Amino acid sequence: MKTYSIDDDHISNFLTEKVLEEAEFSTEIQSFLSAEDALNFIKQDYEANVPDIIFLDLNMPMMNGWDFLDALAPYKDNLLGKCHVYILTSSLDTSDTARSKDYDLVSGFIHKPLTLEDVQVILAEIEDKA
Amino acid sequence: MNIAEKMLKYSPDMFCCINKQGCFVKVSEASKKILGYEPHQMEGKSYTTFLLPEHKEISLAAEATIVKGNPLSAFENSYFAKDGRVIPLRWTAEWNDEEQLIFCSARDATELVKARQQLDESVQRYKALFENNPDVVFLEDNTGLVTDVNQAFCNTFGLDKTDVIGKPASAFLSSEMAGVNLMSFNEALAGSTLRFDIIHQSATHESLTFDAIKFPVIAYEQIIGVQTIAKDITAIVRSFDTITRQSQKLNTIFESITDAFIMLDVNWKIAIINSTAEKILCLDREKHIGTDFREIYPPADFGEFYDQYNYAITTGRSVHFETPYKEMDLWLEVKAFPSKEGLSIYFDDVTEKVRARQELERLSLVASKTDNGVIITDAQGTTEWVNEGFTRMMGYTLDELKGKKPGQVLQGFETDQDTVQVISKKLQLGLPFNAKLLNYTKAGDKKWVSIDITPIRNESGKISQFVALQRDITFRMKAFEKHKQMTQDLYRQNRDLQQFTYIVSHNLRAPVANALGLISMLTKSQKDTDLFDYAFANLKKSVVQMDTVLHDVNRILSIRDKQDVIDTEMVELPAVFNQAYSILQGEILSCGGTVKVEMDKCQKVNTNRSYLYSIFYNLLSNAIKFRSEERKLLIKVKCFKNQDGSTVISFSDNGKGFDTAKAGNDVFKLYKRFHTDATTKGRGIGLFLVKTHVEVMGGKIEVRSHINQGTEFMICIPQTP
Repeated sequence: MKTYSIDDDHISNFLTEKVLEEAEFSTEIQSFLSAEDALNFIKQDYEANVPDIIFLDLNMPMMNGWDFLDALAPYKDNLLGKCHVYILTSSLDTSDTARSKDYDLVSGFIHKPLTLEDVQVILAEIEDKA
Repeated sequence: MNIAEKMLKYSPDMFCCINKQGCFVKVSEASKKILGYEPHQMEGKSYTTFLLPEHKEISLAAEATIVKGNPLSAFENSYFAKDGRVIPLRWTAEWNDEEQLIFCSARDATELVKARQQLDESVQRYKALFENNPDVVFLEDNTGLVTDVNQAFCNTFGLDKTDVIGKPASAFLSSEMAGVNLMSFNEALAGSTLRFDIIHQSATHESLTFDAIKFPVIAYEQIIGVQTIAKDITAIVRSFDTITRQSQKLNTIFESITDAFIMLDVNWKIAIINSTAEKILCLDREKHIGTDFREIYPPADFGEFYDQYNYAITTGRSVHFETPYKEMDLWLEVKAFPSKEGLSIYFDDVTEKVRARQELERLSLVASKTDNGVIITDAQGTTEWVNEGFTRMMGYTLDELKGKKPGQVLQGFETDQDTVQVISKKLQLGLPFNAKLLNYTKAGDKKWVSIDITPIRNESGKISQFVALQRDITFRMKAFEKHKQMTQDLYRQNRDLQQFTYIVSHNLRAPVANALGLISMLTKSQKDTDLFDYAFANLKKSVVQMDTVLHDVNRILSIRDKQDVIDTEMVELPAVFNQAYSILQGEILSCGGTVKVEMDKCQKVNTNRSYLYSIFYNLLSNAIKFRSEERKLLIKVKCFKNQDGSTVISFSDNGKGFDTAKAGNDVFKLYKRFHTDATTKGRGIGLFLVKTHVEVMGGKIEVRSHINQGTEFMICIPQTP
């Protein structure tokens, strides 16, 4: 399962990668330190580069998580069911949780750090949908 | 004595006979009465003895004629009387052949000669008067034909005597005037003397007017003709016309004065009354012009008038006053202007205005004990009256405000001019309205007032006055200001709180989340593995990060807390800048950067030194962090003074810049960053601190930036923080 971790905090990316490896969630994990980089990469080759799962941080300079989601909105119809976005944030702000509900592409909202339990839930959800 | 002798004796005429030798043969007794000689004193003497020498010749010639047989009558000569007087005699004489004697009778002709001389003189005099008369004179006979004209006539009509004599008046008068002349002629012929005007168009087309008198000429109780004397009164008529026109003009002027107007001469006699004055003062032009003003208005009853008039006359200054006129139950506004000719007085009936004002004053009295101020102005906005409440509120008395516009006196520096404009516009609309305005008391204290302005209209609907009711709302406005301040404080506190929630949920939570993740990893990992070491190092990093955030929060809070009690001092801008620069000088030099400082125009600013230092430090530090790799860093710092005394600091660099439109309001927010490069280490607190410091000093900060061109910050620090 192709998985991207988008977070400007490299420690966070590192932790996400390690947990996913431990859970044997994915063999193909790629981290991006900025949302813009991730977006450009996806746009480069739309067919090949769209991942199955994206772990997206919200609080990033320049293009934050919401901006990234807004940038993907035009491709929403093609992405739905194919690409699952999980917001992975340190934020405990409930307004962020509420806001994430407005985005169809967002499959879940996870508070950092990502745990094995979180990954189990995600796997179960994806299997349900599939 | 026979009868014949008696007739001779009593006759007043002197009978005598003269012989061929010219000697008296016989003389009657009348000689004594006429010449004073006894008959015998004359008898036997030549008549030439008694003759006036100059009459000798004609007498001898007459004698010769008589002797030839031609009777002579009405011959005149003069004798010397006995007493030497010259006596004119009138003779009748005839030759008698039988007696060879001249029979004569002589009569005393003294009276006759005298009468003849008088007649002669009067004819001459008349002639002279007629010819030399400067007036035009012409004579018509009783058939209406001209018999004579004088020189003035010829000159005036440009005609010769021969041109008109024997012709009717139509020969020299216009047909219209000839008709008038004929009518007058007929009346004169009937015995009347009459006057009429003759208008004649001169050769130079000048209209001449004559005042003509026509009267009958009577001789022997018969009207033998009509004489006309015409006087040229053109000049008089013209000046009369001019006077009439001028007086009409003057009259029009006086009548056009809407005020009642009268003029008194120096003796208090009324010279002019216009029609308004007739109405208001119940005067009659016919009756009262020329009357002594004091007779109509006795000084005993009109004391105030006379006090004012006398003042005007003695000082030569005009007076202006308002007074009741009890007789007519009126209020009059009186203006009197003294001059050499006397006194011109204008009266205006202001009864309605005064009554309205009195009514308003009565109404206002009700409110005078309250704290509300009442101002009454005329239609032009000039103060007529203020109540006690106003004086208590604003400190100005009626005398100080009367005749002035309230705004001129009450408004001051901080009065909002936009509101003033709105008020003057609304006054023109003539509708009641309310306005809230900052006014100044006489002592210079600020007073917020709520003003209700109501226009008062007279019967014809025209605005006669404005009533302004003023309430002191200073307390309310202060409460409002305080309320506003509190709201602002609350808003800021709330915003800060939100920001801290954000800090806690993101910036503090992020390293905590990392720490949790790393700890969980550490518990699962074997010691002395790379993973363990990596996780451990990052755990430490995360905890340090937490500590930094906590320090930041603490620092921000401490600034905010001191907001109301910051210490200010006169700070030298260049010195503070150099202090910050010296710390960062090494970094700037090592990257090849330069700093240009132009601060000589505003050396000193009254502000907080450490905040200013922090501002310079953070801006310099940002400029270094976000410098462009493509060019060498150039920082420019300038400052200048604004007209209002504030200091403006401009801080610009040629660094990477950022997209101002995209960054929006986030530029100065805490932990907001605009650069993703790994090389930059922005934490997103620098500009937040700069803004916070500037705001605490009471200033403002603005930023302009273009990507890859540079960034400029403008900081404005007010004169007194």
